[in-house]
Amino acid sequence: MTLKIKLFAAAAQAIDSDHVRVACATPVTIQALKLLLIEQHPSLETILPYCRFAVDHEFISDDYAITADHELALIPPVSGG
Amino acid sequence: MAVHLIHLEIDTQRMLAAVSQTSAGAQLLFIGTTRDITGDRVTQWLDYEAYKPMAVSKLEQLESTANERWDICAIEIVHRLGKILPGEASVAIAVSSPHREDAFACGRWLIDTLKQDVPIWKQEHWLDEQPQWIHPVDKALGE
Repeated sequence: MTLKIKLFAAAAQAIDSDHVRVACATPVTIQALKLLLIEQHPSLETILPYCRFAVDHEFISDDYAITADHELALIPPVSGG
Repeated sequence: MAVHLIHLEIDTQRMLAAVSQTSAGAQLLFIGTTRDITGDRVTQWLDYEAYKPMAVSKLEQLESTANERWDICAIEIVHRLGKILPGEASVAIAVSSPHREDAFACGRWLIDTLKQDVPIWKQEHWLDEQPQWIHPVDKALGE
């Protein structure tokens, strides 16, 4: 299936888009997804190790496996306040 | 709800009125403002962006966790988005509680946790430099 991942701040700037689509077999772990992302968009490589992923507005760990159509977002280190 | 993301100036008087209760013995107001000098660089303005639905959800979680952890009457959290000039407020937190210790501890925890876990980002618009998204690992990224 194709996963759509929302992008923000420097991650969005790196590929000049507020989202990215990744074709992959599911379930896919966040770890595997990170590798696919870097493969497809090398400009994300610098910031990606510092990013967290969110599924349906909750932070998830790297061993989480994405199974279905959820809202997926890449969350670079936050700087609100 | 007592958490808001807005694009207009933050009305701190409204926030204080919103947390005002006769059971409260303390009202605490924290205001985070935009600084014009960082090291030797000059900020012209900041641009704030949020992943809005998640940011609201996270702020609501902070509010409910704070209510469990401390003896609190009311909490108001407002974060402003978009362009913010030096000296203007980007975030404000109002807390009321029966006793001041709870308001101080809760207010401190709310702003510290907001800065770690709420998906909001600022972009510095420097004088004489390209705009720069701020991510608190910038040193590790070699900048």
